[in-house]
Amino acid sequence: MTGYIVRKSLLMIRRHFKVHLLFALQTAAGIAVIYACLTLQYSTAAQYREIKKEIGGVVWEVNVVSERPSDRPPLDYAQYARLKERFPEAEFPFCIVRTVYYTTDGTEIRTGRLLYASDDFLRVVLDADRPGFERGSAAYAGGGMRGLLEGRYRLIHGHMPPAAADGADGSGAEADAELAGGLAVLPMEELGAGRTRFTHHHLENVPLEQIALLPLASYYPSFRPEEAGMFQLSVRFGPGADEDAAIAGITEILGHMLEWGGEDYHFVVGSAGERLLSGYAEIRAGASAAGIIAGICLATVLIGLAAVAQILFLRRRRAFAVCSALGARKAVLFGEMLLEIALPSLMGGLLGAAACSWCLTAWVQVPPIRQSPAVMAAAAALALAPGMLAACALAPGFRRLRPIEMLRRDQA
Amino acid sequence: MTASPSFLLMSILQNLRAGKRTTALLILGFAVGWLLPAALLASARHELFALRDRTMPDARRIIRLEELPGLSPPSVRDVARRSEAEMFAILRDLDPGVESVSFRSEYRGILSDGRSYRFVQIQSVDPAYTELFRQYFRSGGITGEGRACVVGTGLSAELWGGSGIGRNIRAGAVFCTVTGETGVQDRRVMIVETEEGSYRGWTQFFVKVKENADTDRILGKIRQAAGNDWKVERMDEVERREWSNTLAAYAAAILISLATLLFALLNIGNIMGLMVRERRKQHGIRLALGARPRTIRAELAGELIVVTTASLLLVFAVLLAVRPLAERHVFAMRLDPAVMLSVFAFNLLICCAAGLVLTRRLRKPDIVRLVREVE
Repeated sequence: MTGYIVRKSLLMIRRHFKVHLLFALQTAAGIAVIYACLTLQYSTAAQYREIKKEIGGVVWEVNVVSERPSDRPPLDYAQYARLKERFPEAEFPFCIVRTVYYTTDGTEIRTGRLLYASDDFLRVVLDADRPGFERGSAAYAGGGMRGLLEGRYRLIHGHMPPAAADGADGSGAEADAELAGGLAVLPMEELGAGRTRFTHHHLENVPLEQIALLPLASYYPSFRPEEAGMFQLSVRFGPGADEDAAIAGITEILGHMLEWGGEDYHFVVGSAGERLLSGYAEIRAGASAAGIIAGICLATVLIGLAAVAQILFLRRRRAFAVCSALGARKAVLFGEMLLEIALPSLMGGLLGAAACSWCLTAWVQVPPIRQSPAVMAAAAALALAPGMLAACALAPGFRRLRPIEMLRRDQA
Repeated sequence: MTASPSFLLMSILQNLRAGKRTTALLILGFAVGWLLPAALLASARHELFALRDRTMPDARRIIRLEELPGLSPPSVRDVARRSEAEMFAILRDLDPGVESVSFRSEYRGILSDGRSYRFVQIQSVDPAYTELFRQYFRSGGITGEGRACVVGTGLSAELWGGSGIGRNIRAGAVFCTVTGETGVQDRRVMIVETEEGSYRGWTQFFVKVKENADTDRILGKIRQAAGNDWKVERMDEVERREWSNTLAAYAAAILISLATLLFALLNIGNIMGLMVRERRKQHGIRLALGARPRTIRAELAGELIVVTTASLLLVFAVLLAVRPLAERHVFAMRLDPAVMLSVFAFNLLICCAAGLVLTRRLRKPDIVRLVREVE
């Protein structure tokens, strides 16, 4: 029976060659549209996935651009605390760096850095968990810097915290001293840092020995307007954080900082973060637009083809009814109809997908096109859908074929 | 004897009523076939207008200087480079043939309207910059007493679902009032700088020359003055390059449009072919009974006009209904009478061509063949 159905279908296709050829061509054009849209959607979705992966775990560097001289800091401690409270899932490895030059014996000049750091900075950058450090009274310093803070070494150039300044000239140096402002200087070893050198952007490769870590809150009393540009807030959302939430979060943080900064400061994210921030919205919008276009194209092409296929079969209902009256099984007639529409559609689908694939490769470079055999196979397979839709729409009618009435209506 | 118009109309309506299901499918098929080409045509028209607006009519008299990227990030000023303010002063006093110098500085920052924050591209421009374009403003302009800014139409639609004129916003560190909308840079915010020296980020200068003949001479002088930190080009060359880049960027859209148009043409051809084939026997009998081929052709043409007009009206109704949503999420469209008339005219042309091809057999000697062919 299968052989009969195939032979009969092929015979009908040959008899209605022109109709089927045109239908196959229309299917080819339709599948080309679908394939082009699906490929665009696939390409933009792949880009979107990549940028999402890139966003996961990224550290956002927020830099300060001073619009006009101001005697208030770009981000004071209270504002920083509010950010921490508003975004509990985010980490703020925030530090302000002051470079100082000192001498130990009057001949050799050494460079040291005072790092006013947050708790998150210690945890993220130095692998040291010291909750409460940022507003506490403990400071950690490497050998040379400890000597400077305790007043054993002489400051050549730079700005010392007021608390330590009294002893920095060498006159008031006290061994193991608790400084005048209540800042206890502890040896760096007591911090229990997981590393001996920094790997953090502009402190890259600086040994901990040349650093003094001071609580973030202790910086603000000594803020000077010319130091505004040294503020660099880093923000990191947890590795498991949602990318959309991370983007919305950093945007909101920037918004809040701008509000607090008034017209004195403008904040910009580092170039890598900037690329992600602007690219993410663009790629997401592109991916969703491509998805919508692909969906609309798919729906319209399938409806258009299904309508043509249905008109094609509606005119053959009488012939089917007569065959049925003469003893042909309805299942066989239905199978014959399905095959008759499926073969030209499939041919058209394959042709359309292949031609479109070639055109995309040859002509389209923007956006970067990524073609997938799975998408191509899916588009070609979709060519069968209109015929199936039309056949399914006609199936209920097949059960109620009334040949005598049809012929009578014809005579009338 | 020629059939009267009322007879033809009655006959057409009767035919359509007799095959309601087929008529519905015909209308649906036609509408679906035209939906995408019509949408793409409307979008292409919008893009065409946008392109026209963003061209500079005096491009041959304009020289563009573009800041080349330095080693430091855009937010940090490189002290070794000549500053924008210095460059502006040099360009202004460079030659008596210089008519005007305008600038555009671009950077990224937060746009806040008091309710939400958005990371956008911000441009600082001087009022003369807006006058370089054929039509910079879609609506509004640089008016009002406070700091004025202009928002791109796309950004405005996305943020506020329509016009943003009159809103107080903050773009980066600048508070301003939206006084105009532009299609030239439709996803950006432009801050109109009234003071000299308000440069932020990456800067471009546009030097307008008084006479065409002086352009190359002044170009040479500017190249000498600008050194290696600035890329200096004639604006007409830039526009030509941008045009070919735009074409490359739209290659995918053009490919989809062509495939869609082909689909629509084949759809119309197939539907008309099936419509005519279905009636062949009827036409043969009517011809045998004395009907004139012209009457049958007129009847077919009338039916087609009714069906396609209904389909196209459906298409435009759908497009008008989904336009706000489409403009917000997919692409902008310009559904003006020109687009509608073009679609109608194109459809009529295709229908006429297809009708002539499909009814060429309606001749007296082929009557028996016509009747037999259906069987």
